[in-house]
Amino acid sequence: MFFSQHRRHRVLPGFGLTMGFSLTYLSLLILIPLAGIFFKSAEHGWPHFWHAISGQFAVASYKLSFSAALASAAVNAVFGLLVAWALARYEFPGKRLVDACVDLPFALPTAVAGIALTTIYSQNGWLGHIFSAQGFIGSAFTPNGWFGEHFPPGTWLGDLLPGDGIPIAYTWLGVTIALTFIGLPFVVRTVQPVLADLSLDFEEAAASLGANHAQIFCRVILPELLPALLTGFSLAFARALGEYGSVIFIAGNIPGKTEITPRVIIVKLEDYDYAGAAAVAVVMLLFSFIIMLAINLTQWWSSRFYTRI
Amino acid sequence: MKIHLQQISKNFGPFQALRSIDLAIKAGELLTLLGPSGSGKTTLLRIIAGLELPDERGAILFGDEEVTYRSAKDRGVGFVFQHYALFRHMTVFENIAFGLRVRPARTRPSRGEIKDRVVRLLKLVQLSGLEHRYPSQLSGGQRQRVALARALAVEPKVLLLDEPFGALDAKVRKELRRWLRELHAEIHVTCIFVTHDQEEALELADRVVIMNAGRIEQIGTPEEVYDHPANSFVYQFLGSVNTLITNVSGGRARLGEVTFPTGLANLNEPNSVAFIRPHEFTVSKTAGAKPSLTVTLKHIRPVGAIIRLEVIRADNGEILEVELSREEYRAAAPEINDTLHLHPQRLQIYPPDFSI
Repeated sequence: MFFSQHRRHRVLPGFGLTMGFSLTYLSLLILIPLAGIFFKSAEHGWPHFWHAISGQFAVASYKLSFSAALASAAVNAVFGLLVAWALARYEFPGKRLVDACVDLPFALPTAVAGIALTTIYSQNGWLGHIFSAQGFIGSAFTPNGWFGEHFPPGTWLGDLLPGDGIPIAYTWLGVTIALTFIGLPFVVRTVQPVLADLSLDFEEAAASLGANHAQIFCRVILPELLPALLTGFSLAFARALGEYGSVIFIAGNIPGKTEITPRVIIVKLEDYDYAGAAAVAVVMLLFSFIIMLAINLTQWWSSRFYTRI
Repeated sequence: MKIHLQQISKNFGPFQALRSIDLAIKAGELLTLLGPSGSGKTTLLRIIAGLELPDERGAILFGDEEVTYRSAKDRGVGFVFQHYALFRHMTVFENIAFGLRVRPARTRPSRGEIKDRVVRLLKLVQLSGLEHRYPSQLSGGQRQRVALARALAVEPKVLLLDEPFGALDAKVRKELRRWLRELHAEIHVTCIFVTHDQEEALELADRVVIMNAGRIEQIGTPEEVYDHPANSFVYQFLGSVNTLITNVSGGRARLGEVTFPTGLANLNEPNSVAFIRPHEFTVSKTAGAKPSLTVTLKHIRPVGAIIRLEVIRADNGEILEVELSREEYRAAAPEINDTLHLHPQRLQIYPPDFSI
């Protein structure tokens, strides 16, 4: 074996077996099907490929998919950390219940989540109404409301939220909320065990050296959590990119506005444009791969000194 | 800075970690808190540091200033942890500079001053040239010296060390012990050192505080506590000791044929416990003119410079340990199953209400 001179003796054998199995398994499940997409996309030649991926609606969908996925992963990173903190640090009644709730987005069929979110966040829905022009919060964002008066159209904030309350369902915001919902468990579940393991010595040492609460958190605890947080972030991001079921209900799927890339692919499939669908999939695949690689490199870099001491 | 602890108590639920501790620590002294695990020594140290609050009633004074409820951040103490607690993502330099960097802008030294101070501290802890390493690239002994430099960087009023050498191997411990003694002689900051290792406590300390079950059992110099233990707990805790059942009548203890004055004139107690240290016996193979304690030799264990004998009392079957120097051993030349005659040089009995 050409690896053999680097191998250390171990009590349990199995490098050959596990490595061989891993490669076969990954090939059958991931590499070969994905390679199939590449072949399929090349079926009708380069002009067709280019036409499929550079169409107006396709390009708009990339923007929406990637920006909403990034935004939702970022929101999850912040609030997932908060949830993980509460769960890892404190004892409170109902803690087990909260802990179990975190996993619900994993277990729920995504379509159910999508319908539930749409019902609540649409203009007539429970939360959607509060943010609509007639609602308690949304009314401030009409031309005569508090926000509208201070930031009339023409100012940058005024242009961002033009006058009609804050519509959630069937907008970019709705897509982001759906993606945030399904991504939450990833950050909580990666950060929670690290936080629970983190010795109190670090913060006590920092306190005895005169650091205040914010300094202890930012300079001592956050760097310790960063690798786990980045892992959670990238998992949530990856999940959000591929999400379909929960988004299509709340997105409204207006081509060029609230249509996500997976939806674009489905539409092409429904038109029997298999090569076009594969082409859009290839673009998504490559971008996702580049972004995931970048996150993983950052994570590797941020954890390079973290041998246990 | 001198430190006064007044009536410090601490309960963790039903567990009494500290029971009304009073202690005065002199400025510039190196005090060790010595006790078995669960004796409350670490809790006491953490209360001095402000990492734990005492139950009400107690007071802590640094000099003449009361600091009982002041936070750890504002207390101005240096704390060294058993497991170093170095910040892993910072270099040695950044670790040591941390306490200076987090100061508010008004009192923060300039970059140049911070650099100067870190370089001086690195020299003091003999780690010059390692400022760009990360903690994971250092040995255990080096890490603990970085932790010490980090604590000293903020010029603490008192340096608190919580079993700082506990995670290190025996040789490094010994080196660091000597080094800490020298360092203390050089900078003369008040130090409180927690340990369960009696050798470490006796070797390092100006004064030793022996704790047990949340109370102070004895305070004194290493000689005082070793030579004149205040009670049976201290006697047993410091060094190895034989406990022998003796019959005390009229203030005299009887051990085999030997009788000893106990110094307690009116004590009559048939089942008293006498303490004799293993090295406080003279051994001979023949019964001399002096009365002796007859024993049978069961095991011989050479341990470095001393020879340890395990013997059984002829009168009641109790097992005793006797330590001889190599010369004494050669002179007596005992063999296994020999009958030996022991002459205790010293014996200590505590009146019953002092026993634990």
